Amino acid sequence: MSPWDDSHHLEEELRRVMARSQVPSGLGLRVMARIRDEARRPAADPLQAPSSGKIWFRGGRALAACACVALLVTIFAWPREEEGLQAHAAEMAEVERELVEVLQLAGSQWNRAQELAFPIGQDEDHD
Amino acid sequence: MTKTYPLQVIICIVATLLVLAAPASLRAQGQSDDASLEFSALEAKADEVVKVNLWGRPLEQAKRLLGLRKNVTASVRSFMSGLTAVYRRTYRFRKGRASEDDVRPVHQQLAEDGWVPLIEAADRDKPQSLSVYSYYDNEQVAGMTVVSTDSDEVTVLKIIGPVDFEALSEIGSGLGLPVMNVATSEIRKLSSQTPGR
Amino acid sequence: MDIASRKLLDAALADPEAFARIVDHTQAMVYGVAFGFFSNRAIAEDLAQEAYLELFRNLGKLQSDMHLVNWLRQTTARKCIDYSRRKKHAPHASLDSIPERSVDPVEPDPRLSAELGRKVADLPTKMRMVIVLRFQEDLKLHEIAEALDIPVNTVKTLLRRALIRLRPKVAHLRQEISYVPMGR
Repeated sequence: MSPWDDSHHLEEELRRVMARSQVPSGLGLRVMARIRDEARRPAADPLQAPSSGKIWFRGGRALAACACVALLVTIFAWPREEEGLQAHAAEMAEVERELVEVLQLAGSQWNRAQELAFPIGQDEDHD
Repeated sequence: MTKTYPLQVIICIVATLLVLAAPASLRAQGQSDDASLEFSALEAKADEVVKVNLWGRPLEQAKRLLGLRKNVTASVRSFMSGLTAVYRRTYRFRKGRASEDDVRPVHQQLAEDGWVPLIEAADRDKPQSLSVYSYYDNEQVAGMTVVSTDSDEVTVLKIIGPVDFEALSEIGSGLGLPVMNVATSEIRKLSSQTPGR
Repeated sequence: MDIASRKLLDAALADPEAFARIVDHTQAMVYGVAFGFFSNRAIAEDLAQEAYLELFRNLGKLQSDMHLVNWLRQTTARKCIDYSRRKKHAPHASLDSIPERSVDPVEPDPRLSAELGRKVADLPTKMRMVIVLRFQEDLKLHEIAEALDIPVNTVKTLLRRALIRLRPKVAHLRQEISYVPMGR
């Protein structure tokens, strides 16, 4: 019987193998950068809004608020959104280019490896 | 050589910009690429480094974008759809500085991780070698890694997902994917190194 | 770290530096759980960031600093399991995230460790998380149950089944290694 059949030894080995890995340097900074991004976003929690008045009044206020938001979006946010979309599209185009590049490189390397390993064409050239 | 240098620099800059500008998940990947044991020797010596990490949402979006293009053949589209991650590391050196010793830890690590060598080719006259590994999951090819070493460049490509070698060969021959004006110098360089081409 | 009150949480609500201190104190656990589960640095970091974002959004709702640690562990574990199920992620290490756990200086056999690590990575999602929480985070069974929101008996069953799955493979490998000729 192997000593590893003993649960105790296996558990000890697992504790050693499963030891915590090192945290990558700068993780905290990157987390905080994301938190700051998050904090900069405008809070939009409808539950936080004070509820007062009658339903029609609340409905009217909501309508007015919607109109204001729509107006503000039209004036300020739309062009920015468009810019954002353009930036996102540019990013995605870059990612697409990277994917094509890696696949083309991998394909070329694969073909090259095959030709190096099985140089059939070379014999024909010599003939 | 001097003509290709600016393009290499541009690739480096583009990769850096990608890391900085990409969505959060992609950014997280890029920034977590601290030099590990396997690449630390290469990274320390390299004059230029190209790093590409594609997985998750950015990869899915790139696949979807590529899938919409006209020139993508059905076999390539099907091959791409199964990919779950694509990684690239290229280390460029001044002439003669890359050695097999620097790359050996990469090969050792791949072997330890269960990658099986498919093709190992070396040029007798030049300091060039090329190794292709595959990873099997339930007897299906579930990934492919290529390690190519020249005197001035080491490139490691890792593709995770079922690999259709016919489709890959098609892509390598310049078919099946749209012309995107990328890495033309690198492809040309590869072609010139391939005997009989 | 004083974990008996809401001192840290209240401070974090008012001051980003205080939140950064929470991150400093807990990142080894959060990242450790995610990396232990995926063996992939990029995914582990992404999930760790997600966990802290969720913490930021829920700072006001947590009861105490003690709850903070448990909440973070629970959130990280849940995110790992969700991600794994969503992506059906195979634990292929990325190019430079090949396992690099803290190395024990008296490690008896790296091959055995690598093999055991791979076998753990092949375990089903919840079983794998139980192993991570038990042997990496050194949690008690009821703490694992709390983190995964499952009954203690289910934790016991998962743990027993995981150990049964791992045991014969480890034993087999150990035997194989013991026959390697001395001259190698």
